[in-house]
Amino acid sequence: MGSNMAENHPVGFRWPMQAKERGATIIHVDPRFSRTSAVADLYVPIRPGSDIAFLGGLINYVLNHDKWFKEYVIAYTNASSIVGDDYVDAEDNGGLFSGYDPKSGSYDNASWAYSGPPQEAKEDASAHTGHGMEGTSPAKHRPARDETLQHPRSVFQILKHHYARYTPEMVERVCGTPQSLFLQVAEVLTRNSGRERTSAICYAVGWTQQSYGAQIIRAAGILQLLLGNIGRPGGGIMALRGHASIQGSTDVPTLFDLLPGYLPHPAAFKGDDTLERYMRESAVRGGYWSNLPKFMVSLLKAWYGDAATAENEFGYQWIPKLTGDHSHISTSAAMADGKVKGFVVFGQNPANGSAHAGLQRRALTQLDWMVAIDLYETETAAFWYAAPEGWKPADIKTEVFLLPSAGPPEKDGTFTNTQRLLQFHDKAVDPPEDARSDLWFLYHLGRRLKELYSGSTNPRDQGLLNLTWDYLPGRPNPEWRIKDEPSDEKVLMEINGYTVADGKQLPDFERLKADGSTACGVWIYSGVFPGPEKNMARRRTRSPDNDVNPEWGFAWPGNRRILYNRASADPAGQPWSERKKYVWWDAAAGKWTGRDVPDFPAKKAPGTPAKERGSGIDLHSGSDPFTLKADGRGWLFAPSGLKDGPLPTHYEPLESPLSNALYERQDSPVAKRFPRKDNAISPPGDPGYPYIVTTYRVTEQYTSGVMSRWNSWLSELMPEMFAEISPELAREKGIANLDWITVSTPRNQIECKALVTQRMRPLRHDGRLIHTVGLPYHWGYKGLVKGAMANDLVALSEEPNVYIQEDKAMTCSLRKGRLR
Amino acid sequence: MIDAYRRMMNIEQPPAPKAARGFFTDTSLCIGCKACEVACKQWNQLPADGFAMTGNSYDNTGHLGATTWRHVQFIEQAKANGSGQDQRWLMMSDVCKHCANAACLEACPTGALVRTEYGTVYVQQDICNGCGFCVPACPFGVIDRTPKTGHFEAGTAHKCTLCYDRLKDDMTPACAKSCPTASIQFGEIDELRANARRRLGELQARGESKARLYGMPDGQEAAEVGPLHAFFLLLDEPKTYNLPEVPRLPRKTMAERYGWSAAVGIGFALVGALVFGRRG
Amino acid sequence: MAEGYYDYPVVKRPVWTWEVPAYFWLGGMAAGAYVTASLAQNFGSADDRRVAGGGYYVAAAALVPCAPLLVADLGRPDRFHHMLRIFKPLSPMNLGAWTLTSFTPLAFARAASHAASTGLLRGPLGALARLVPTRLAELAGGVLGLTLAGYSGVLLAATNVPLWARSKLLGGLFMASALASGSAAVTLQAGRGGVPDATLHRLTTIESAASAGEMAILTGYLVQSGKTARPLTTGRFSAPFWLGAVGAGMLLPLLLHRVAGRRHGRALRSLSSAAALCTIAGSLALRWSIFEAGKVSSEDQAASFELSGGAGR
Repeated sequence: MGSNMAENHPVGFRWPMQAKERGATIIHVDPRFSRTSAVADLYVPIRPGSDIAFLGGLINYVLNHDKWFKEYVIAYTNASSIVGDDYVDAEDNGGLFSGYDPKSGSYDNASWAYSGPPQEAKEDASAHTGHGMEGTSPAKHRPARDETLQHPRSVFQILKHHYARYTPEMVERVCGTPQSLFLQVAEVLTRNSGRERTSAICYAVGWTQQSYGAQIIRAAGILQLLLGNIGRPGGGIMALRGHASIQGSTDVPTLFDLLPGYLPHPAAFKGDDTLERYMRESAVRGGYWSNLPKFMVSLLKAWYGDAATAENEFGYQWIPKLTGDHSHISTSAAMADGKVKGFVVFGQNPANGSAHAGLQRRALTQLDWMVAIDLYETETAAFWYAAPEGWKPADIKTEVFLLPSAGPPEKDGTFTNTQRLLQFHDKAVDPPEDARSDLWFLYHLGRRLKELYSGSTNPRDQGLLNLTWDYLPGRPNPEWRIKDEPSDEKVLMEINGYTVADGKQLPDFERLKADGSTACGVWIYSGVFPGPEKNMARRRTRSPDNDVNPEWGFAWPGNRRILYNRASADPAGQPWSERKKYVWWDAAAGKWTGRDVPDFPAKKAPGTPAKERGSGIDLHSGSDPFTLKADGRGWLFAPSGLKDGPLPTHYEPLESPLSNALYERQDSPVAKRFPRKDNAISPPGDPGYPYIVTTYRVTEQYTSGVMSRWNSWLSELMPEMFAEISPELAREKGIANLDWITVSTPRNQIECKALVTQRMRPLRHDGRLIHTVGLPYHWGYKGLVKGAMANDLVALSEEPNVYIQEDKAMTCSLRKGRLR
Repeated sequence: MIDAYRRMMNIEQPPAPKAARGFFTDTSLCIGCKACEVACKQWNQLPADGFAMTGNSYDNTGHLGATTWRHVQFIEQAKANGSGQDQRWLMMSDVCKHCANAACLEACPTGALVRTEYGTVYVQQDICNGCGFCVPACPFGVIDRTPKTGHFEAGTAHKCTLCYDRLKDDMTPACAKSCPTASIQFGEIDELRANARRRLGELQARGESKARLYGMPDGQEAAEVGPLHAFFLLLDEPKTYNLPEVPRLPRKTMAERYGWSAAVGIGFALVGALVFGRRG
Repeated sequence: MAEGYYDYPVVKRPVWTWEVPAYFWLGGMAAGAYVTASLAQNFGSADDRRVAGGGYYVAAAALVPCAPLLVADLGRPDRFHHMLRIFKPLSPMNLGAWTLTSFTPLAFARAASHAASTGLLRGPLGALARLVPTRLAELAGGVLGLTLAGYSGVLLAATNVPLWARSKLLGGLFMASALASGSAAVTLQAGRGGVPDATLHRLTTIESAASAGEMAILTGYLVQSGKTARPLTTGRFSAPFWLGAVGAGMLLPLLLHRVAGRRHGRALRSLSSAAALCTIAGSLALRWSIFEAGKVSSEDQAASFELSGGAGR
């Protein structure tokens, strides 16, 4: 669901294809009959934006038909935990949870907390932003529980109540999915889950790029926990990432609100004034995140070296503090308002690839200067003379620099993809002429800035001056023309970490200390480079007797291939079944063992009771597999960590032709809209924009086309921008295949060819036929092949947890003919 | 003298034959990613054929040609107003069939087209003089001549070489190497045929009633052109994929056609002799 | 909705251009003229033999552009000699190349020999030409000429272009057309004067026989081709085919010959010359229209499926 894996991850899709040959059933739930649907055993149509209704329907089915994996759910999830008295479910409040403040459009999540003994750390989930929040949840580690699950405020009963109306009839009404098909999915999924079998769910940006994307993934998490499909081989929820190494770029983040290793970024508005306060507020007593101070201090030591001392808070004050939402979309809005002066853009193409590309282009005109570093001249780099707005170069005040970058084979580096596996690759050839690796640009920019500011006593320059910046190799590789290329392995060694006293590489993150005696750039990656010449990401050893192949690359954390794999054994530590044996307790040896690295304290026996006092995972019992969670359990109900509710709830997309059939509340109460004149959003059921429009990619092109539209072999395969429409819609509009059409939203309009295909099918909702228009977004105004940009139609909006725009479900109008 | 002639005409002793190699393209595993098309063009440095959308599903290639040696077909099958469950989207990576009795090879007047030691059919680019006879001779519409004024090997016939250069180095052909789902399998032909039979059995057992092999020695399609060294597992009738039911080998009917021609000639000679011989 | 893959052709469109039908026409005419001349030379009266010489001249003249045309049509004309790299009669193209290569000097030699015998060619060349064994040249040339006239249709038929390949008779048709045009060329040459009416009558009889034969074979060809022949019988090429090849090339000469059969002297000469011109032009129209319609036919998916359908062969 939410993924077109065969088209967008064709190489990874070899594994589902092989699984299919070995008897697995592939189900594809998608608005379009795509190349994935073509090879799936079952294709299930769904209306864009209705995923939570579908998943909620499955959750309801599992609960109603008693298909949940009882031993697993009771022991490993928070089903038995009791939620506080003040909690009001969306079901009983028109679609809003307790704690909603309509004025600020946000939730105070205090009422979502477990009941139980008073909390030990301040609970302040909403103050923290971003992905990091999930890991540092201050939720209570010792909630009150009712193992019979009968307590009316037990998570299990709340869950049942919350999804009771998500019936097959409702699924059909909301999603447009025929009941018979929905039930088929439910049956296959439940039949294929339990002790003997597991099912996996794959998703991609089809889920994330919605105004409640994180909640869709949560819904899948709930379903998989109920079915016992987490922490077990063949189970899980696979996030298929949008680009090569995007997983890597969230681990070592390019995200504004995270420090490396999912540590929350210090924020001025949260009062993270001192390191001590930051660590107290961010760490939690229960679970592995209690070690956050070790990770943070080691990070500061890696960055500032000898300059980081206990006396100066290890340089904590040199880290700029967040003052608000600095996500891409918010920054672009600010840029459009002239509040951003300079812009360095690496490997990104907002003038084409980002939401509301027209506004993005206009924003670029407000800059004083821009540096674009890319493989080719992107639409972003060329906006000043080639944008469809037709601006005259003389009227553009932005000074634009275009620097040529190196492609992957022209540099060393690692890829970290969906499975958290680091794979190092070696440079094969020098980049041409002045092209250089991104690392080269960053390293030498830093070096020159340090030179420029050397001797400055200005406090704000001290962070820059104190940065350890020693990445040039001892001896440049004589094979290459470029002699001042920094060493990727040196960077990876710093990421791995070392003991400060002797500079010895650390074997893993268990050795990290909060006293400044260790340095580590990214704690979750520790272990990837445990000694000189021991780059584990280089490993390519197959293990014929272990299909986990633990000696191929390095998977974080600690080379674990499946997270929370303690859950692959029953509470007593024995495999749930011989077939699904993965990690188990070896009583004779007194330790956990198996095919993978156990994701659990190696010698903590299954029967170990939770300690009453102390911190960390000592507060968990020997059968609490979810070590990062405060309570050691998988969360069916999320008492904190999410800004838009503890349980996934169906809302309509910000733009929808339908009104919410489940709740009074139409759309996400906390999604961020940008109410600007140039960012109009059509109201629900707007007759001017009656069709759903969704954007996507095709195999032949890549994202905004920078890496594919300059390649004639790829361009000839998908040469022109098109819109996929159903024969029914085409007939209604008098459109023939290959006719020019114009697609409009309140933001903009674009022209493209029509591809009329039976693979697009209108769905029936309450007797009304709803059409979906499909738009790939690969074209632009540079490259061998050119065409209109689908992102011109997208609105600026932000999912509240991760700041992603909603472009998978919008509304549009459509007419035959070209723009004018 | 003979040696000098052989040198002038580039006539060499052929290498000793090896085990026959070929492709088994299993369309039931194809996800239509076109990696084969791109890998082929990259390895063989073939130019793009132009940038125009055909409107025929996701196929903007159309057909095989002088500079397109792999081509993925996209066949959309659906009943109008159906539920979507009766819908199929068939994908098939087409390629030169490397026929056991190859019409192109038989047609070639220069000997540019040869059978290699791997049993494949190969155009020697230094021999071909672009006579164009192989082009309409091929019953599958595979081989084609590049324009006389193009920038790529102008004026000669081209088609899949089954990566002869890679085979020489014991490497898998580029398309098979790049196929992520093993839809294109490369190997020794006997082994591939055994795999294909087993695979067909599996699919039929799963209820794929229309599945069939195309290009096996016992197929009717092999009646004239012989078994195909690049053969297929199809999920529908051959025609659906533009494949002839019984591809013709022109040689099979040539004698008869010469016969009629000769009869006319002889008849004319007789008439002529008779008329002139009557002497008034 | 096509039953195949969209409306894409099954087979490739032939890449050949106008040089090919032009060559077929001229080569066929040369061969026909040579054969006719040789028949006159060996079986005819002394008067008849007088037309043979002109026939050899016509044959030689018609052969002059043949090789250049054939070379010009190649994708790599600089490699024309690769045609003779091997001897492979299995390939009609190879057979044709060898035939043209051997027939051309033979026809020139025979013409030169005639020129020498009439005193037109003197000096050392004339002496050399007189050494040509005429009988052998006539026999060998006759066989090669018939091969040259006959292989072209077979060559086209030895493809998978439905219009060319479906019928068994294209080789025979082109042969008949070649002989008709060749004999017509001899007639035309003879009609310039000095030839008795009887000889002209005999020539027109032969021509008529060839045209009638051509007519019959064409009928068979069209019947055998059935729907496949539509690109020829309807559409763009129907006018050159019906009016040019059939009307002007066969019916009109037959009619003119019928009229000419009862005439003598100037009228006979005019009529037979007109008929010959028609035949020759019709022969070109036939090759050209079938050649070009073949290209259209190659794009006819249904015809291709019919051709390779297994049944009906």
